[in-house]
Amino acid sequence: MHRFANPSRFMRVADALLPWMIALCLPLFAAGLYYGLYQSPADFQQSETVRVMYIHVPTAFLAQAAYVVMALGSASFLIWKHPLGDLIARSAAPVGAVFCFVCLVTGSLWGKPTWGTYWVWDARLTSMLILQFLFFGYLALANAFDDPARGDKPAAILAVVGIVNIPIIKFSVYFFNTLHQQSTLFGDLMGGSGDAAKSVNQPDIAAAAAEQGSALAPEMLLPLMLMFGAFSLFFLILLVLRLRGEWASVRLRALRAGFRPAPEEV
Amino acid sequence: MFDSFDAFLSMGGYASYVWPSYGICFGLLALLTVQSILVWKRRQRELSLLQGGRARRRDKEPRRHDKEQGSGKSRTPSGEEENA
Repeated sequence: MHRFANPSRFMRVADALLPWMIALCLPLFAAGLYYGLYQSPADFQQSETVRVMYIHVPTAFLAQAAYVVMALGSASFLIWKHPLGDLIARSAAPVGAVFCFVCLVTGSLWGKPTWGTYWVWDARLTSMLILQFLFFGYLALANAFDDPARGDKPAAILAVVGIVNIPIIKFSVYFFNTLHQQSTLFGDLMGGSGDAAKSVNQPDIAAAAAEQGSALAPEMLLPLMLMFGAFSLFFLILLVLRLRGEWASVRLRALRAGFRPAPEEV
Repeated sequence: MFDSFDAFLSMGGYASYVWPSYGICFGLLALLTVQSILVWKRRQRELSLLQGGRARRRDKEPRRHDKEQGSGKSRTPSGEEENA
């Protein structure tokens, strides 16, 4: 495992995987968009607005996944001084910020027709907004210094401390009163499958959740899963592309500082 | 499933919510992709300029270590931009 903590070796593996990820990502997006926008049925309560779900839910998941990647990279940089950890954190931050922003905007556009409002200051929406500010804060701190290396440590500390927000986002719909619905996909995490539906007096949904593990109709589950796969791969592709840029700038700084370039391994 | 292309475009009357969601999502992701590639290319170009300058200087007074490096298969980081 430590073999891959070397950035140049890690980048070679990532570069080799990149074409395969692109080749897998594009057809997944095509199928996901076809089933999500066209082939899947409209929701009987939400009508066609339910189609926003196929981008809102995966981007929400990936914004949090990006944050976890950023925090783990930062932690490994702080603890073991792995330069790769800092590179990964710096690469994940802008990608996570964009996913988080897309999640907030699509949620807003979904909220207007279904809840009657674009925004409400409840636990789920507010904690997601805080995630957005954590991404912005990290990016600002990491790039605040003339010598970017000086921003490594404070930004990494912010990323590690901010991880407390991730469980808050996850459980905000269970602990607090909120307009945001609880997870349909995974049933109720807090008390066995289906309890979430029972608590809002929807026994048919509860029964479906108990029966098939998820309360989401299979015709909607398929495009959602396709989009989950496509967005996850797209996240990895963006991560590799940004890693290339970060790795190039590290070598650039080393060259300008008068060191010889690391030919193979450092 | 929709009866017609017009029905598809109007999204049951919710076109102004559904289409902007998809537009913003893929528009922003496309912008981020392009920006990521541009940053990488620019730094890669600067890198090869710097390395090229150094390599030329080194060629004037070759040392044993440098010769070994030059004769090997392109295992230096500059191997990437030679292919590009």
